[in-house]
Order: sequence, then C-alpha cells, then structure tokens
Amino acid sequence: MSLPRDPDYGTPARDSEHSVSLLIDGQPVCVPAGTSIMRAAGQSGCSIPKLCATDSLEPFGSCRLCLVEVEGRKGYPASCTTPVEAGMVVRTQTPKLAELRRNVMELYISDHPLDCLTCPTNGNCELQDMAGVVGLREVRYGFKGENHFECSQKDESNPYFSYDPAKCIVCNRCVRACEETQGTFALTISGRGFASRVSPGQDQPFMDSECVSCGACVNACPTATLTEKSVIQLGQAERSVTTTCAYCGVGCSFKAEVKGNQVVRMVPAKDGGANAGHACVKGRFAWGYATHADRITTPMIRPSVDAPWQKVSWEEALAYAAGEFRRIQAKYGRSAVGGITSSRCTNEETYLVQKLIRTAFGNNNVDTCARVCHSPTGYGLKQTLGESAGTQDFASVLKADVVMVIGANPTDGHPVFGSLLKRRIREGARLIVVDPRAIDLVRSPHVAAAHHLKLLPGTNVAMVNALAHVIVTEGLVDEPYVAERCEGPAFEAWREFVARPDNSPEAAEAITGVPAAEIRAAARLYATAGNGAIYYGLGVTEHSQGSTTVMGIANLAMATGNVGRPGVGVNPLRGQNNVQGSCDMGSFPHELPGYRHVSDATTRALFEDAWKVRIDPEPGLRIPNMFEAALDGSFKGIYIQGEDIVQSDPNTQHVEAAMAQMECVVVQDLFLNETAKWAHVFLPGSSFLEKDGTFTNAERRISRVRKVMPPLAGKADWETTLALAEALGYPMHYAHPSEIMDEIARLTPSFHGVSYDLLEKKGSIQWPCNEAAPEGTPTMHVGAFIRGKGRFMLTPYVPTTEKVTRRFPLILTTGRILSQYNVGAQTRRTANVAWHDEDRLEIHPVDAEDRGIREGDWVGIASRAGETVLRATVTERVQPGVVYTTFHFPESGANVITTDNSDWATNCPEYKVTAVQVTLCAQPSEWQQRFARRREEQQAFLKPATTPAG
Amino acid sequence: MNHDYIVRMANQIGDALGINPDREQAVRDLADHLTRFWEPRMRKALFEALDGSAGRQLSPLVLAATARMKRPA
Repeated sequence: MSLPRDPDYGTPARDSEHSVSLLIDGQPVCVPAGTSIMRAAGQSGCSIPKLCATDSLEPFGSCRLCLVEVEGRKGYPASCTTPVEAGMVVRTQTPKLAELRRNVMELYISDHPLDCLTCPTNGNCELQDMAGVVGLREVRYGFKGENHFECSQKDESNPYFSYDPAKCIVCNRCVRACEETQGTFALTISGRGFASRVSPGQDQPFMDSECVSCGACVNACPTATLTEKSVIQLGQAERSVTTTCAYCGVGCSFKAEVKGNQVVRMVPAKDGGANAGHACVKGRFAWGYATHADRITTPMIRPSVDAPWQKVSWEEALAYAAGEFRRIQAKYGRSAVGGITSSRCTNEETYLVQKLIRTAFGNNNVDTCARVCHSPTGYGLKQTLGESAGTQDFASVLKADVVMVIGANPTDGHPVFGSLLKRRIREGARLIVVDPRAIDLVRSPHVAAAHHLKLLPGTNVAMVNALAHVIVTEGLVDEPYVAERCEGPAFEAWREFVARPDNSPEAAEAITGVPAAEIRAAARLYATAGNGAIYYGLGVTEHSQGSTTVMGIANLAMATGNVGRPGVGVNPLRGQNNVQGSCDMGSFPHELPGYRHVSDATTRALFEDAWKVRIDPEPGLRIPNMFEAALDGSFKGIYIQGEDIVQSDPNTQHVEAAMAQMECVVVQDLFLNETAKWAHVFLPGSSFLEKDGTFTNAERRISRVRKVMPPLAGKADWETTLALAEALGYPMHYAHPSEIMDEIARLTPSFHGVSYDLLEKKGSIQWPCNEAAPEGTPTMHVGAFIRGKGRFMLTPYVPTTEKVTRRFPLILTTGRILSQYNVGAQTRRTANVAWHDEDRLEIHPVDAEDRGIREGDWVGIASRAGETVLRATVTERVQPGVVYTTFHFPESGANVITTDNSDWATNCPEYKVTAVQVTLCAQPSEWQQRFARRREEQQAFLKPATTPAG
Repeated sequence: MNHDYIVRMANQIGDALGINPDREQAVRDLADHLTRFWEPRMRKALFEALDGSAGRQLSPLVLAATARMKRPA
C-alpha cells in the first residue's frame, strides 16, 4: 500500500483582499478572488479529476479531464484555468461530464503501457487513480496502432532518477516545474502533435543538458515517467517521517520515506516553511552517505597518531578520553583543553557541547565552525541592528523590488532560495550582483542582473562605502526613517564619513576596478526602487574586513529605510544547516546562549544556578587561537564534534603543525576525516537521520529533526556528549532532546516560547519566540530595532595585507558548487561525484595564455603559505588577475594555499583573498605527495581496528 | 603565544577602530574589544610583546589601549 499523498488543490492559492461566493454542486463556497474553480471545489471537499494540474504550478489546461459545467455558459470549461466569479453555479459531476472524462482517459490509456502491476509507482500513480475515478472500463481503440510505449528508450543518465518516455502523458508538469519552481528551463516539449515528447536541453540525455537534478520534475510527474531509481530498486516506502535537511542554511523540510529502517526517498515537504515543496540535488538525492561503507560505527582509541587504531567499547573510549582530558588539565592547567561544536549537529547537541566545556572542563574554550564563515555576521549585525541574525524570512524576497546579492552564489550554495530569488526576478524585480565572478545569477534563462559590480577580491568595504557615498551625497537617504529609528550622532558621523571624496565611486574605481558610473547607477537603483533587500554570503565575511563590510551593509539598509518590513532587510545566507543555531546556542567562546557575554554577572548567575557550577568570566580561545596556543604548548586537548578543521581551516600546514602538538584529540564524526587522522579517540557520530533534535536555518527558523532510523553506532550525538560529561564527572540528566530544548527555552529570552509541543503544532518557529512574540518572528526590527535605535558604524577601508606582487601576481578566491558540500565528507560519498569529481582551478583565458595553460592542464598554485596542484579550467567566468577554486576534495589542498590572515574583529579567515602564482606543472606538490602517503598510512591504521579479532 | 601573531592582530583591530575621530573613545573601544574577545593568555602575550622587541611594532592606539587594560596574571 502506498503512503497517503498531501492534498492537492490543483492550482496555487491566490492572495486577494476580495472574496467571491459561488455554488459548487449546490454547496455555497467563498474563496479569494482569482481562485480557480478547481481549487474552490477542492477546498469545499469536492475533488475534480485532473492530470496536468497540481497546486505547485500555474494552471495549464491541457489534459481536459477537469471539465465542468457552469450554469449559463456554453461548453465545458476547464476548471483549472477558469477563475471563480460571484454567483457562479458550477456542476462538477454530471452524466455528460462523466462521459467526456471517460473519453479523455480512454485516449490517454490507449497510448500507455498497461504494466501497472510491475510499475514502480503502482498504487501511487495519478493516471491510475484517474482511470479509476472516471470509471474507465474499456479502451475501444485497442493498443496496436501507432504508440509511444513500444519503442521508447529510457534515459538512465541521471544517477538518481530514470526517464521512461513510454509512460509520459505529455502533461507538461515536469517542464513547468523546471521553469516555475526551479527556474532552470532545462526541459521543453520537442515535436508537435503525436510527436510531442519531453526533451532535456536540445534532445539530450538529462546528464548532458542544463538539468541541475533538483528533482522538481520528478516530484511533479503524475505517472512513472520520471521516477527515483531508489523507488524502482527498493519499492515504495511504508512510512514517512518529516525531518529537516542537513546540508545548507536553507533548512528544507523533507518527508523521509522509509521501508523498515531503509530510506527509500526524500520528498520535499509541501508545507515546509523554508522550501514549500522544493529541493536541490543534495537534500533530495544525496543522502546515501548516511549508510556508506566508510561509516565508522565502533569507538576507537590509540596512544599516538602514528599508531594503529584499537576498537573498544563505548565505556572504554569515553573513560580513556575523560582520563586524558583530566590528566592534561592536571599537568598543563584548566585552560589547556577545549572543544568545538558542530554547525551540522542539532541545537540540542551544540548546546550540550558548550555546556560540557563550560562546566566539566571549567573554561570557555569553545568555538564552532561559524568562526570560519559567519562570525563577522554575528559581530556586525549585533553592533548595528542589535541582534546577530538576518532580518527576514525567505518568502520576503517575493516582495522585494530590488535585490542586491553581495558575495553569495545562491543558485549553487543555497539553491532553493536561489530558485525563489530567480522567480522574483522573473516577476520584474531588479537585481544587482556584487561579485568578482560572473555567477549564474548575472545571466541565466530569464534572469539578468541590472548591474554586475565585478569588483576585485578584498575591496568590498570600498564598494559598500562608495554605494553609501552616492546615497548620502545625492539626497537618497530616507531621512524620516533615520530620524525616527537610528541614533542621530552616529548617523551624522557616518554621513560625514561616507561623503568624503575618498569614499566616492570615482575613488573606489581605482580600488575595486568597477567603473564609477556603474557604482552610482547601482546605488541609485538600490535606494530608489522601492523595497530593497540585501542578501550576502561568505564573499562578504571571509575577509580581513569581513565585519566591517557586514556593518557597511547594515548602514546601507538603515540609511535607505530598508529594515523592518517584508521585502527588505539584511540577509546573511548561512553556509551550513545549523550555523545560526550553533551560534544561538552559545558556541562562541565569549558568549553564553542567546549572545550574552560571559563577563555579564547576571547572565552568568542564571546559568550557574541552572548548571550548579561556577562559570569562568573570561572569554575563551577561538579556533585559530587554539592552534596558536597548541603551538606554544599551552593547549593540549580538544573535543571536536562534527567538524573537519584540518581540511576546512586555512593554512593546512599550520593547522597540521598545531594538531601534532596535541596530546588528546577526540573526534566525534561519521567518517575518518582529515582531522580524525590526527585524533587519539574516535567516537562514532550519528547522521541527521539517526536522531531527534532541531536545526535553525538562515531565517532563524527552528525546525524539527526527527529520527528516521536507529543510530548506526548505538548512540545519537547528544547521547555521546552526555556519556562523555558523565565520564568527566559532570552527569547531565536528559531523557530526550525535548528536555534539552526546555532548558534552552528557560535560560534564553529569545527562545522562551519554544518547545517541541509548539514545533509539533506549528511545524517550525522563527525566533524570537517568547511572551512578546508567541508565534515567532518572521520579520525582525519592525517598528524599532532590537537594540532600540539603529547604530551607524564607521567603516574605513583598510586594504588587506595579502598583496599581489611580481612573485604572486594573481588573487585566488575560493567557493563551493551546487553538487558538492563544503569539505565533501557527505557528498563525495554519493553519486553527486557524477557532476563534480575533482576541484579545478578557474583561470581567465588571458592569464592562461600568458602562462601557456590550456583546458585540463595540471597547474601548480603557489602562495606564501604553500603550494598545491590542480587541473585548470579556462573560463571568462573569472576576471583577469583572479583565479578561483573549490575545496571539496582533501587531496586538492585548497587550504594549503590560503593564509592565516583573518577578520580583525572575529578571526574569521580571509579565504577569499590569497596572492598566488600559477604555473604549468607535471607532478603533485610536495604537500600532496605527503598527503597521499599519510592517507595510505592512516587507512592502514584503521584496518586492524575494523578486522574482527580471531 | 607567538608575539608577531598577537601584535599583527592587535594592530589590525586598532586600524579598524582608529577611524573614530574621538581618539579617547577609540582607545576605550580598543581596550574593551581586547578585553571582551581575547582570552587571557592572548592578552598576556600582548603585554609580553609590549615588554619585548615585538612591542615596537605596536601602533600608538594599541599602546594607549594597553594602558587602560588590566594585565592578566
């Protein structure tokens, strides 16, 4: 038996102040103006047969199954394309309609294979359902004539889904989903009449077309034409669990469809607050890593990093780790140990790790991977707006008139939001892209940026100041807004500062490389188009002036009155699924949960009372500081939950040197990652499918993570932290993550109203959720800023010390792509490698020609920090003087070349600016050769541990 | 902790906060930043750098800020 489907009203809901009353099958119905007859009927409990209609897509009117009779009108209009009118009298079931529908179905079925019993969607097929609904009992035309089901060839090129044209009814739902939902326009209908067929690209296989494998077409298909290969292989699921994706900061809601403990497929939830039924290739399909053979499911210990691993019981591993931490503290002092929380783990798990550090370790040496991505967001937005978080929900973009995307690549990094943004651009909003590279948003089907400010890496502050200069000097400031809502003296100081000639677009042109006229035009557009929304990413934060740029962005938004209502705002696109949550939960070394400084005695007293320990009033070490302390011998032990610092942090050789100085590294992870190769204790982690908890996405949306299968190693991550705390002599008593959330809510004002019961009721909640906002807060700073008055901050442009020279004449900048995710630990262990199986260096044709480099050549990339070798991709996507690579494969050594320059306020590394030279090369770099030897050695150390004794 | 590393970071913060035309406020902000965000052994290293040769690389604003800060034990 198949799982029940979500209700489908056939056409999208309409938003109107006016309602319309009509009669459908004698029942009075009242719906918003613009609603279709089909939807109105569905909402009144009367389902009209349909095939080409689904409520995630605009009506199309092609299948002719949804015909109805309307009193006083001739013919039989399609209910999907006919809007309701006041006083209409509609009949959906009459003998004539039944006859017409049967005739339509008869035609469809005459060209459809009758293999229902062996079809992968048997019992979950809309065509099958409709044949039953209309009472089709015979096909008078027979099946021997010309048809599509005897000679059609399947397209199996996509690793995740199959395209079987024999089963296609040409309803166009897949084509429309690709256009309307995803915005890629990869599909079309080729041919005419009987020859009409769904066609990817130019009649190409799916994998050769522009298809991005988001799965929207598969979701929309009413038959088995487009079907997940996992469903074909495993059969249909027997239960479904709603949970939250563990990839990017969009935080899509999914229904994990399961058979036994095996996931059959992940279906984007229609009612998902962040994704509304859409998904991307990672969340939708790349979940196979959770049961990959590389998973380590038994705890292991070893006396040194040059020794083989020994498989031990949980008790032995935890006792060993606790004993080592205590030995180190006794020998080197209380502050010689620390820990790192994971932005991939749940809120409850990060909360527990920071609690363990502050209580059982007795210091504040806790940090999180947000250090290397969005820590400047936390600092910059707190200084200006008063809260370390974005201001809007994702749906807000649908009310924007102009969108400025700075240093972000949403179609790759945050694909579901990228699709929403593209939809808004197609509807007419204007787009400004500020990015050194020509990202897809600059020009893609039906999307074109009004301005692409193609600045040099490292010059964001000069650019933001120049935009501000135009706004101030051309009288574009929203004076009443600023006067009412912002601190006057700070604004006046800022106004004077940005108006200086050295902040003018003309001055900025020499720094950024962007023509002054283009900057002026973009500033005018942002300030005058109506609702102006800014979205930014790591291209803003990962600089030596990351925090300054974040403050500059907040200044722009405040000056133009673009904070505090839907359609506007300052929106950091968070990299990982729970970056926002891990920061909220007190993962930073200077802040307790809720962004309250450890030096605040009142806050400390609150937690001391709850945790029954004294909390250190001094800030702890940040991750880069931990490395420095390790190198000076004062930091010797670390507990790392779910982060691969050796691959993801900059200047790999520096990090490796620091790791080599540690006496106890405890890694809790799914795989033997690069950091685990420097570990002494390995505690098996659990994937998002194996535990309960919550994630908080980039729009502050707290969503439930629900256990889909039992933890492979026997413990969910939160249980492992509890066990370690107990081994350290600080038992914590929680029977379920809901109890952890109850404690978080009790101790954190912005979470006071959050509970699992409320999450169950509402699906998701955006914090703040408390007495003042019991239903949560989709838009922040409405009426007033969280800090009272908005504060303009002065943002001087201070050039990075990472300069290009004759020795290192190019600037390297790094980023990620659609199919892979960060260090690739998850996506490299899925079929996503079909799209990207190696990191490459993008280089402009001019720079390539100067060096004799051709497409695919091996090239050495050398910086002041190190050298690595990659293959080259010659492309105009990058500008002359700039090269680009991704960091998804450890052997690429992208971070061997990045330096330990960092943001002045937060130590967020300057990944985006590294001076390099690129030369033709014949062999891997020394580091890569060393890496290969070490990988082999460490894998060998694993073998005795994984071979059963005897 | 490596003094060059500490000096470089302290000067970088000074460069960012030194924009404030009110120098006294800039000094207070810098001292406050170092106290609120730097772990004690980092601040200790800053004072050690001040005592040694690396201290000569410290900017005047950082020097002024250290005068307002408590030296960690």
